[in-house]
Amino acid sequence: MAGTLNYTPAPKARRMAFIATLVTGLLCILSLMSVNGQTLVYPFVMVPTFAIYLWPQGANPIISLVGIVLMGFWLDHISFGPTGLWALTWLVLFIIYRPDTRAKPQGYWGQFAGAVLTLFAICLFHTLLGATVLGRPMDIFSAGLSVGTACFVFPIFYVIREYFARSYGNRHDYYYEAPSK
Amino acid sequence: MVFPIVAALLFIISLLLLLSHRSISKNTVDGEVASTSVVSKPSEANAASMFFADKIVVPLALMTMPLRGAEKAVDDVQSRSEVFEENTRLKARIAELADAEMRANALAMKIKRFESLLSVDVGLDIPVQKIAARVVSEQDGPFARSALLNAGASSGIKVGYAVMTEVGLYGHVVAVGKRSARVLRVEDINSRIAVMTPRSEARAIMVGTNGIEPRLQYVARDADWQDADIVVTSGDEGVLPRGLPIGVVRQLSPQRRNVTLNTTDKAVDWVWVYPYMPVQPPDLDPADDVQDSAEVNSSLDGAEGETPSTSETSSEPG
Repeated sequence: MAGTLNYTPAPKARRMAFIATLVTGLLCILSLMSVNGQTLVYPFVMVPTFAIYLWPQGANPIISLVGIVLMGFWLDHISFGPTGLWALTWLVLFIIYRPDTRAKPQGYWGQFAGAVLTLFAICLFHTLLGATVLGRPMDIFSAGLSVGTACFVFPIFYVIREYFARSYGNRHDYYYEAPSK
Repeated sequence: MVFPIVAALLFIISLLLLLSHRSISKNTVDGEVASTSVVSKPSEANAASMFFADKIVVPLALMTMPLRGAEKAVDDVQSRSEVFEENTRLKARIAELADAEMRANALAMKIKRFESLLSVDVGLDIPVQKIAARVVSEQDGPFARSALLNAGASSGIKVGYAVMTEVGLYGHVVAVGKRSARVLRVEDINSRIAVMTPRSEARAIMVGTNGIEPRLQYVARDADWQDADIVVTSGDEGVLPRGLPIGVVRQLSPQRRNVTLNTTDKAVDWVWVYPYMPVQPPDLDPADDVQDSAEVNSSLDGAEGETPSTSETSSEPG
């Protein structure tokens, strides 16, 4: 049926949510890395956000929610940041976007534009959290560097994800595609 | 129906945890000064954080190795092109420093002589033995500036130790695991360090801003701080040794001063951890066999009535 989501069986939906959570966890470790330039440090801290933005379509929503929050706490712990910051950020992002129910097909540029907008939305959200909940200002310069670095990394992330999606799974599990006539 | 309930529940939990972090952080910021920044999180959170840090420090070190190698290669190529100019500059610098070294040696001899005359040994706070460690991860997050070292309690690192690069203070250790240590960098908003300038010995507290330049706060009205003054640790907070170089003052206005850090102009890879045992307050380091003055006086009074004094006793046999 054209224009609707593919049906995902429950065991597969659960498995996809677990895999996405695991990938987010691995990206959290990767996000502790940074590239040292001549005068600046380019942090990867925003990179795991891509995993939330590109969460597999059809993944079990409850397991996804719990997994995302747990991974947020995991990143808060290992990065020594305020506990709950990333958990709350990703949770809000997931609730707003609901990538697991995404029904529109997206090409590379569509995903890239969406990811960049998401990064800026996160900066805005962090500014808001900093002013209200945390009571301290966010470092805009550092956030800008993180966004720039994440944008630079996005093509690599996209290629790896595409490779695994095509090699180890049915592409319909990851994206909606209109059936061919 | 289940989705909104679970989402709301998780949202509330995350928000409450974030709010609790705010109260802890606020206590730290409002606390007296510097020594409070050594513990910016409750110890349970530190322990949990270091448990995870211990697990990831080895893979993280392996993952960062190729990156650091590539950075070094780029750095090498760039420095090769500047090697002639640098050599000339370094020769001139050596000539300057040879004179300074001679004066320093003469002054050290003079100080030693004065100390022996006065029967005191002030000594240097800065320890001779240092622990080398690698920075496997620097967090430049929007709300935190910290770093993870690949050496921990097994290398002798303890909470509160100063962490230095070859040019200046980088931060201090706030949590220690078995094989890893967490450093609160001087730029972090929770960092508070007692500082002074050797020129006028004026004191201040250097407060992190999460930006590139920390601020100087709690400056006395008559304190003599000027633009380009060298900033070093004063050791007044009892956590860091005195005299560690930090940076130079940048005067923004008569009341506002920032510190341009020595460490910001170069990426950090290796650091030195300085073991330093601060002076403990008496209640934390009690002595067992010390009588108070009243007890000593009363025992002396009692002794005078019954037995002769020590001098008399010693003179009796003669």
